Amino acid sequence: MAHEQFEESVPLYAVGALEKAERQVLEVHLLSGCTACHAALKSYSAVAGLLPYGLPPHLAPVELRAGIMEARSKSHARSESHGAAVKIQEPAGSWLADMLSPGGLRPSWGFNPAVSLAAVLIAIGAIAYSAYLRSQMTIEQDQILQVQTALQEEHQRIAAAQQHLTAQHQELSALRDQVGFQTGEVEQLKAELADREEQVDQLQTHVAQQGGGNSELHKALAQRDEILALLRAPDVTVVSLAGLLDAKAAGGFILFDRSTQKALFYAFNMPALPPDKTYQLWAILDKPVSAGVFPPDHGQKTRGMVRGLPDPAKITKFAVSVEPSGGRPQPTGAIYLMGQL
Amino acid sequence: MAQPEASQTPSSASVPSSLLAAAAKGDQQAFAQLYDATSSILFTLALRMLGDRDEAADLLQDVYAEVWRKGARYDPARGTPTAWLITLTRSRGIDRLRSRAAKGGRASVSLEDSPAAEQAAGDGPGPLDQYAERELSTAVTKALGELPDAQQQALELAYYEGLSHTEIADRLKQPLGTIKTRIKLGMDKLRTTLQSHWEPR
Ligand SMILES: [Zn+2]
Repeated sequence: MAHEQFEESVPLYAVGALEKAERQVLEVHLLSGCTACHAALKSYSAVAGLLPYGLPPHLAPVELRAGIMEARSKSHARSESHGAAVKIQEPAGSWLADMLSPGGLRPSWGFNPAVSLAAVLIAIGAIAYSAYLRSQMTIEQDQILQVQTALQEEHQRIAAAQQHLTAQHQELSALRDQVGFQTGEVEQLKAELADREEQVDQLQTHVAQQGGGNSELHKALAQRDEILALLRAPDVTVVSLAGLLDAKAAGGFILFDRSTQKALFYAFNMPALPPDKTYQLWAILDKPVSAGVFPPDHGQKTRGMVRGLPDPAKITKFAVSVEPSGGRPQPTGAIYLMGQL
Repeated sequence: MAQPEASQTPSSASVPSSLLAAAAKGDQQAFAQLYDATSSILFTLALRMLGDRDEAADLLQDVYAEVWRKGARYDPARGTPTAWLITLTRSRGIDRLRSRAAKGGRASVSLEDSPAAEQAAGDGPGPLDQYAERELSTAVTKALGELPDAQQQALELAYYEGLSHTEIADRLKQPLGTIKTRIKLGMDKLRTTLQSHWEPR
């Protein structure tokens, strides 16, 4: 699509009048670095932010001030009394918070090359899934800042909209959804990164002050450093995972750093599993190799860090299947998520 | 620790980034000043969107809680602190409108049919009296007044009620293209008329 068509939709975007698919397509265009659209968005957004001044003014109820100030000082007192470790656990309402929360990481598995390709290929072949998008993005920091607010909103809307997804237009919007989701998540991730880094710094200071006596903290810090290093890697590949079959509402992604052969895996809306089952992530080269088992948590999310991926250049797909607890050397159960590089 | 601008509460039209930063870092006095400067415009917005004083107050609770949790994420390059707070309030307000609609409640409320309008009129003068804010209010009211009613209506349905252009077209029984054009023309006109008010100085 030509830039002119995007430019037309910027004012509608600024007042929130675009349809979901249109928003996402525009956001991708913005992320591609179109400076004209960025400048237009900035001005239209500023104009939209003035609209409330055209309303007849109302004062907030007097008692609200006291209520808010009281809630603020309580919350502040609580975080002070528990120190830095409490901050890390504060719900940030995003997948990154899940990822960074203590205990959020599962130990990774080694790779087992002795796995048959046939089973997976048959499964894949049987599934009529549409084209998946591969996107490798290096995002400029200043672009991020400009669309960040909009994208954070978008992230929430996507979550809400998912529930109302109807069959119509699904074919067409599937591709766009993925693009929007993917960029939205990456944006959110980058936005939270700054906060989290600050918290890590605080934790590190805290640990240093305590004479380094706490090995749990050290372990947690090492995990976080690893995640943050991956997030900072200059050209992380983003692989969208789309829900299949019984897990249509599920989604996820893999952030994949070829240079270190590490990846972050995150999935949401995963159907709950009986206690004797688990999710297993597969990297598919010329044959599937296990990238670890990831039991879903109570929020139907699953996540983890994968280390020592096999030759990244040879990976063509990632898939997530349901397997008996502990995992299997090759996929045996239904495939719930699939993503193509 | 001494804070800059600690002596006088600014109006929402001139909240310095440093005040938001201090408030987000836990400075109680800065937080109070931020509240005093911005609560009126945010409450005005919340009330217009939700049409209910209690719910609007509830929304403001959420917004200010987010300020002290996430205020560090505010970036001056993206706009003024007030613009950030307005965006936050609108976005949380739309979340509420959606969940209300999902529960089968009224999908939207306009102040015309809400008792809140009269009730709030008796609240008396407040921070909105401050000069910069009053000037801004006058300018925006005038600029909106100069728009054709149809453009104004389309903008309001999108901005305050969170409707997409398709939903607006349905509601008004107008062709889609017409609605898009109204919004675009309206925004273009406002951008020109209000340039001195939104352009970074
Ligand atoms: Zn463009």
